[in-house]
Amino acid sequence: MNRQLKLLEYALAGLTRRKGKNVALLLVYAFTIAALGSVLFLTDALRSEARQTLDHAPEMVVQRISAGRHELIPRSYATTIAQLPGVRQATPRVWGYYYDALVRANFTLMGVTEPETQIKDLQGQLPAADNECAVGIGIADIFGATIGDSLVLVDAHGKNRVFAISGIFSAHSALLTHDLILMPEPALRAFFNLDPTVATDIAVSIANPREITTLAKKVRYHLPDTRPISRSEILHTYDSIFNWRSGMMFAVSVAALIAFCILAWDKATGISADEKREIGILKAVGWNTGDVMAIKFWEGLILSLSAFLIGTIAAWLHVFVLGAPALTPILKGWSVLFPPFSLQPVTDPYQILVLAFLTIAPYLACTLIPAWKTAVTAPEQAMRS
Amino acid sequence: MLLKTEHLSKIYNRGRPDELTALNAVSLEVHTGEAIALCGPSGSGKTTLLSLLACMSRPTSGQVWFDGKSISRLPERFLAALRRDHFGYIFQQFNLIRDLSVIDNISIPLLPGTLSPQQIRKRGMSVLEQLDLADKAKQKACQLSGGEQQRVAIARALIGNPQVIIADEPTAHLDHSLTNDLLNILSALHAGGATLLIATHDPAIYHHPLIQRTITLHNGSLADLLAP
Amino acid sequence: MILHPGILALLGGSLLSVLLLIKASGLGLTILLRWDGTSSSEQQLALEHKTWLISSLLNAGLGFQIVSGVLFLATVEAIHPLFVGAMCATGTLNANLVGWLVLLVKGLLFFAAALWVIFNRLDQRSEDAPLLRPKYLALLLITPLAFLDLTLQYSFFSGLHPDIITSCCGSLFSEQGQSVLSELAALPPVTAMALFFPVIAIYYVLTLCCLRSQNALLRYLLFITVIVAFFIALAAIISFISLYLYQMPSHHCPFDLLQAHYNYIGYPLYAGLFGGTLFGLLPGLAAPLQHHPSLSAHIDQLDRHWLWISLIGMTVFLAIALWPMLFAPFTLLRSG
Ligand SMILES: Nc1ncnc2c1ncn2[C@@H]1O[C@H](COP(=O)(O)OP(=O)(O)OP(=O)(O)O)[C@@H](O)[C@H]1O
Ligand SMILES: [Mg+2]
Repeated sequence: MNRQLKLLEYALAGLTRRKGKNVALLLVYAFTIAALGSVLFLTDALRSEARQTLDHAPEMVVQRISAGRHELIPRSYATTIAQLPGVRQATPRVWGYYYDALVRANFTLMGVTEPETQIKDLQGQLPAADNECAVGIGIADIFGATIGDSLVLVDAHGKNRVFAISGIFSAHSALLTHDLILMPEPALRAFFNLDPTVATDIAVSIANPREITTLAKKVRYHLPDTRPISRSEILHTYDSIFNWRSGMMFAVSVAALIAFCILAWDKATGISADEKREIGILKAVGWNTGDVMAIKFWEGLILSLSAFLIGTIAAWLHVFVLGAPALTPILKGWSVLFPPFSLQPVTDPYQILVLAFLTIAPYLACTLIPAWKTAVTAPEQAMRS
Repeated sequence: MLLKTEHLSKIYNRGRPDELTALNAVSLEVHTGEAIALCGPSGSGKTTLLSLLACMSRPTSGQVWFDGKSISRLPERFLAALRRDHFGYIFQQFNLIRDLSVIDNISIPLLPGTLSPQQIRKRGMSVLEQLDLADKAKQKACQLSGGEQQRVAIARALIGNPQVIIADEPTAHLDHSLTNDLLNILSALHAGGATLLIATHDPAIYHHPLIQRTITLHNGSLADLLAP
Repeated sequence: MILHPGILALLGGSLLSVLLLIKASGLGLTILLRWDGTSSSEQQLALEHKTWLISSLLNAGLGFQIVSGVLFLATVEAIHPLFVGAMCATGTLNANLVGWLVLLVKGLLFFAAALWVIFNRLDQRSEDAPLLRPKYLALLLITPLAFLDLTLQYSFFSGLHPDIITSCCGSLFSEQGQSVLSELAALPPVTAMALFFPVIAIYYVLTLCCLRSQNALLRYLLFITVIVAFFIALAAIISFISLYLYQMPSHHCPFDLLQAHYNYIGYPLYAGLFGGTLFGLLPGLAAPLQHHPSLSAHIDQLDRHWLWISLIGMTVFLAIALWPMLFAPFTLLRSG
């Protein structure tokens, strides 16, 4: 133990003595780690944001399916579902997508049934009157609108309707509310020209999450033309999308890492005459091959840990402070209206572990054989230099 | 008897066209406390013999005994431990690590051992005081004069309290007065009980009263054994 | 196949360690064929140099195994939201039958690599390396195991599809299930305790006896006891230790312990158990080597270290396991 500490100290001194070579290596290494770390942090932050938002979603949503197509669902289904044991509440919802030709973007229009409810992250109020609406930050930004301004939308009869903006969702919940427009349900029915007996789908809240699967089966049994979707299913769809995207970017970064390891190998093999002489001296005065390999291992570990620290901090700043400017172009295709990043800085120990494992292990493995090659220098060497 | 060799041979590049017999059946004995000069023309195998005696390489055939124990087939880690604990080596070219401080340079042999850093430093300082170098402890090795470098190299050889001090042409790079200084230091060490083995071309050494015995090598074989 | 960073890291890492081990066993094979301890030829010197490389390849391999074991469990936990029905690592492992096999092979590989590294150290302390041949023969067996680990891991992860509906601890460790694991959970706490406490008591008695006596038989007994105790302890974790740690009457999951939510208490718990087991095996394994004159003094010296480390490991494990039983308000077995 003591011995390893002394060798560690010697390795540290050795690194500072060969500053030029090591600083260059450290910077390239740290840059590779920062690139990989940015991808990991960004996708993880997006994923956890999506999940947080979905936490408030209903446990189950029931849609009606006709010939495989999403169809309007009769409101009476809600009553049937509400009577199933275990169901706390079944609420018919009215919502739909709306294409705005002026700004060429898709919005999500949704009906509110209880305008009194308090919603987190909402500035202003939920719409109470028929000509009021609450909008997401993305829409407010597109139209440059603030609370009290009015919004013009074209309804199902092709007529312009004017809505006063009563509230705006703040950036915190941007991922789900970004392109959202909320209005009182009767107003939305009129806007979409919907029959009062139908709804878009039914949100079901369930007391015991363990019963979701059973209840889904029961709903299918009683209402064979429906499709129950549980929240965990929505969650894992999100997760799969994120995993796929991050996987792609990740593969690219790993290629960079491999390139770096080749560089590291090259550096480690091309050992200078000075270093070779030093190792000869160490061996001649009583060090064995294992001692020399130990200092080489410590050198590698110090180098990769410092690169890891620098790279991780750089990635963190890049993603959470600067908003990942280098990565957004790749992720943009994900959504029509991509929410601007106001990512909560999350640091998951697991992500750090993955990043550490991915970047430190290959480097140490790459330097193992070159280190051994220098360490077996014959001690006699010192007598003939 | 401290060191003994029996039919010691060293053949370099064995089985290849450039095969070379550097030592041929050398048998000799070194007693505790002796001071021996190893002479012979260039290429006669002095350095080769010293490296075998100092546990730095292994013979092609024959045996080396240290303190009654055969060391010629020991695994490397045991040879290294022997070098560290019982031998002090003074090289012809000083072999200091240029941009390391004097105290760090002389501490190197003890780093893999069991002593704590404080104990190593204490030992290092006492050796430096013995050699009049205490005020240079923090200076880098490359900023020292030749004579000072030589004394640092000696300090490094002494830090492990070795039983045997081996020097390979220690005066090759020194002028007359520095050679005298060196001989004074070696005499003091010898008086302190150390065994000395010095390979040299320099008459100033092998005619010095310190030397009790001279061994001469010729083409890898012992030429004669002279009494003092 | 899911392109998850953790999965890529695990597969890449496994591939790397297989490559390191292939290199090591190639060198080991050369040594087995050519080693001649009495020769001082250049070739023999080169072989001796190779032993250093093999040691460090194996050290790296062991370090890798430890980290990758942790990473495997963490990854399996991290990807559970991808599977309907999975609520923790158990759910992911169940998504594909190979999952549990991977865990088993990883455990075996850990013990094999750790034993190799420890006996290699012991051998290096002697001047004549009497364990050289058995050592490098064993190496030839570890390498296929690492390869198995890689292929099993690959087939596990490539068989995972996000639409798999799996079952989780709720059903797997439920007392009504039919699998071996649910048998364990169904093992009534009283029965599990009746097995666990005596075997732990025997372990302590034997270890203390070994510390006082040089008797080889005691060490063989300790060896067997430690293996039995290891499996009983794992069963006990599922059967009742987890209940106390979670303070819930029916939460049997052995992996949730590793979560931040439970302060990562599972890591010291399992580290204590694995460490205590590993070092408890050593005196029994080393006892037959006493007849090598060059090893016996070293074994005598190390024997005490091993016994103490084993004792410390087991005690850490036991302390964590017993703490909530003794001091927490939750009670599983009501008196009366
Ligand atoms: N590593 C080696 N490989 C091949 N030949 C070597 C090697 N080292 C030394 N020799 C040869 O062995 C012979 C003896 O060398 P050695 O260095 O022992 O002589 P020396 O007596 O110390 O000479 P000098 O007085 O010049 O230092 C020389 O001919 C030299 O060329
Ligand atoms: Mg010479």
